[in-house]
Amino acid sequence: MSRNSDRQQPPVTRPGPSPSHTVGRRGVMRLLGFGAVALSPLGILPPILRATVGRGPIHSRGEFARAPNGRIRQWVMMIDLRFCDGCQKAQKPPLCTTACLEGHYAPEPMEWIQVFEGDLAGGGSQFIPTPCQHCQNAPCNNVCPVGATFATPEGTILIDQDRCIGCRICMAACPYDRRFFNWGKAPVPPESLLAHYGPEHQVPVKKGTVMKCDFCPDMARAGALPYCAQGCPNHAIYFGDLEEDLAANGKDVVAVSRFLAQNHAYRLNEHLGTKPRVYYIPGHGEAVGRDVFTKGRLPTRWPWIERIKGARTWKR
Amino acid sequence: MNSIAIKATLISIALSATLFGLVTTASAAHIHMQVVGPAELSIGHPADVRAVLRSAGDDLPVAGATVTFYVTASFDGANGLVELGKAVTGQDGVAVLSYVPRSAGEHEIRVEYLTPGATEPEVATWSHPASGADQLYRSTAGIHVPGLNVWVIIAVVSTVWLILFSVALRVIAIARAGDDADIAAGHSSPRPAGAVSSSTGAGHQP
Amino acid sequence: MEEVGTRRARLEQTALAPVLKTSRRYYVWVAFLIAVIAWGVYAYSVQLREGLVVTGMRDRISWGLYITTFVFFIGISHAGTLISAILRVTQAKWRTPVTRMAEFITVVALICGAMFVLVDLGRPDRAFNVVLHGRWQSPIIWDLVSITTYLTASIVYLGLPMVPDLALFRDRLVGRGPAWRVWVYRVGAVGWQGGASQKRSLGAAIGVMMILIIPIAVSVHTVVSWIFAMTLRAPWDSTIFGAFFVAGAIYSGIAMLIIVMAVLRKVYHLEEYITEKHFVYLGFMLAAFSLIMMYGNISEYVTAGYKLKEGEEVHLRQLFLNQFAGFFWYYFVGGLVLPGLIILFPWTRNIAGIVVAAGLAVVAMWVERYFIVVAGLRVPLMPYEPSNYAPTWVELSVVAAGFALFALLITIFVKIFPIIAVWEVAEDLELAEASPADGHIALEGAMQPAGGSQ
Repeated sequence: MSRNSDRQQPPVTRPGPSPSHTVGRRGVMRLLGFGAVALSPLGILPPILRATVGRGPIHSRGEFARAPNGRIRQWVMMIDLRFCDGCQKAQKPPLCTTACLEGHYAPEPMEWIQVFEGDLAGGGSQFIPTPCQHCQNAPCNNVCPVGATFATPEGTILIDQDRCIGCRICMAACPYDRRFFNWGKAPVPPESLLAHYGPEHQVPVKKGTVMKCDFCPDMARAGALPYCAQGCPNHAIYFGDLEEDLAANGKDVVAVSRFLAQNHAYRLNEHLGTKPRVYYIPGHGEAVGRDVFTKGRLPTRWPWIERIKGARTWKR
Repeated sequence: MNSIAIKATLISIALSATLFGLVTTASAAHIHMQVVGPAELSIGHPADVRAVLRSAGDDLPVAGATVTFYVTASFDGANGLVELGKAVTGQDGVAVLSYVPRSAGEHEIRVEYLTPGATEPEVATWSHPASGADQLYRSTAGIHVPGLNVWVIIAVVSTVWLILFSVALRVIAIARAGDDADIAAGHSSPRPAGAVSSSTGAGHQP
Repeated sequence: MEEVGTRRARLEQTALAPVLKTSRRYYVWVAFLIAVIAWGVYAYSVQLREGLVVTGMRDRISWGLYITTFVFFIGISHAGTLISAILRVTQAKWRTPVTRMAEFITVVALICGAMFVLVDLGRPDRAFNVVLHGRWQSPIIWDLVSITTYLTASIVYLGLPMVPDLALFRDRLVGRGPAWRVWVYRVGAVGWQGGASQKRSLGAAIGVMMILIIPIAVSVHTVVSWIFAMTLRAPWDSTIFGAFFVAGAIYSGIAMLIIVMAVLRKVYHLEEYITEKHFVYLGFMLAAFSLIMMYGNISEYVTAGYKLKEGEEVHLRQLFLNQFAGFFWYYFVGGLVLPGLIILFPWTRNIAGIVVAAGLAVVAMWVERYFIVVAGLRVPLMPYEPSNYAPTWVELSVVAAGFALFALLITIFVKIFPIIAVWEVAEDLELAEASPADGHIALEGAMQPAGGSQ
């Protein structure tokens, strides 16, 4: 840096840059080496920060769900579309969705399991209850910049709403439209605010974060079926464990591998390579008497009488 | 002579009736089914479970009979029989099912054979505990992002920043050379315009 | 021929003028920009309080104006790289009067672009999580790293060639103007006295930077495009996104540079140094890149349209015929074909025509980002009716504030830093003086007697 020098120094003539006043070659090498050493922790810096300043790994996650002899459960869901009629016969909005949103206080308009009505290639329509597919090659998990969307050893994909920054790249990445954003103050009932939050129990909702179906891990660990499986009047939804090869729908027990193979199970958008954990048995509700050309289901309703102050809903 | 013939006919009729009766009863209701399981059941390893069908009377193998295999299981509050599959007996009267035990604990395999025309199936069971606690399935989600090596990214980024660092060193060199020129010239006032670029020659007042 | 000395003096005077004199027009302009920014800050405060529900974004179309403008600004930032670095590497002498502006634009555009990512976050209070918990596998982290690197490199690449000019300012402006400004010049000039060793060091540093910054810039817009291309959405599932976005970035960068150049030239009377030739040469580059963009678009849409896979047909219909037709055809015809034609025909190939072409191009590139983001998200993934996106006043206000911030930062830069690379232009003048016979074509304007430069 130049100094506003008023010094009385004898002029020293130098023929050119002298080694002692330029950063010589050796000096450069030394400094470069130092720089390299300084930069090498770049890869391990995030874990160090996490352990010291940051919050550490995802918190409030329960124990792994285990089978009786200690093996980790591998949750899988099978939806038998021969038994799904969109609750046309029951003349109600789809009861799987209703049970889920009531159990989780899911704010309007979130339908974590959503019953789509798709056209069949040969004509007619079928109802497709679509929860989060808990992909084994989940695009949402791959793109999350902060690891707020994470995979569990049971194969489910959960969200830590305390770490989510709300960038929504996971919503752009999900090919099944199964992620929902808390755009504003969510219209939930006041009693939901009393719950103790954890990634396995996404209550209460947090503004500015993403939510979705989580396969009800707290219930699954305790040996109960998820809300949607319990709510279905036709017992169309099976929930099971790939490790023990067993699944149940509230009425029957089946061997997962046999059930899938002999009923020609398929997965949604298989060609995308996401490897979902949700299987579908082809059908259109014929086992409960639905005619394939009977279209339409009732729209989902959120039953909260009271909502927290200042909340407003939004359209999807 | 007549009485002997009549007696012989009567006896033969009685005998054949008895024989006939015996034969029909043997083929109608008395099929003996036995389930023969493997000596060891290890979780995740297939083992053959055999159902042996023999006719009760003459102990002949019953071929071409379809038997159904079940295992009793319970999951998430539901109990019941889980159908494992059907198999057909061969000439030796044996139907084989390849069974891979997956759940822990006792495995009770139940085989049912419904005789044509009967209402109640023949049932035979076999029970054995399964050993082993190896995790068969591993969740693959999120553990491996295929094709991406994080260390390559770190190496590339570090190289770029090192080069930026070397540029910073040059700037320091400029600053130090500036100090030199300061000392060398020994001036104390702002340089005239000509000193900005030494190639412009004589200074020129703005 | 004028004496080199007088030309040199006039050059320095022109460079110093903006810093010394401030007109009333300037203050009015700055006040207007600050008003727009203040309104945008208010709109953002509403968004912070109520949540992103005040925008038009919803679950089905979860990105909108903010991400559009972010990508747009990052694209603009390629102006500096192209002009300064590539033209310096290829030793195109005509670049010297415009390099400074190009480098300004780069730094300012990066700052504005980064701002829009933060504005788009649902939880900006947790933005630091990307550092604490960043995952190297995420395209957003690649973005963070490359944009940070590019911003640092651009600031260095702006500061380095500015060192001799800052030394000039340091020497000339002592006692004139606020003391802090002279302190800025002193610090920025890092003791520059014009000595031989200093020149060597500076030349080496600039040489390293001009080569380094080109791959950095290419990587920046490539990873920005991968935020879209790493998803499974049909309109984004394209392997050429990286190259396509880099070409688009350079195109929009050149266009923005032409506009800024025209404005500053007019306001600060730089006609002697920035001549029609500069506009024409940049215009040729604009036309070349418009051809590249057209080629990229045709490649994508023809290959997708021939096959019409599921989702592609919905997308092409909404883009060419239905909801986004107006946007797309303005972009293609008005933003790619028309600027190319304007530059192709000699009777429109003048400063006015080229500035119009650049204006069309800049708007078209913003529109292109818009329909890439919104139309890309609109294609349904499951059997449902597609939603529609309509930006609200909050989004429009914040976007306007972003553009105002861009203009304001350039305006302030011009007040503090030299807008022309004085020493580089001076060097060119001397070289031309030394060998007038083979003077470079681009300096004809500067060398002719006064009055003949237009």
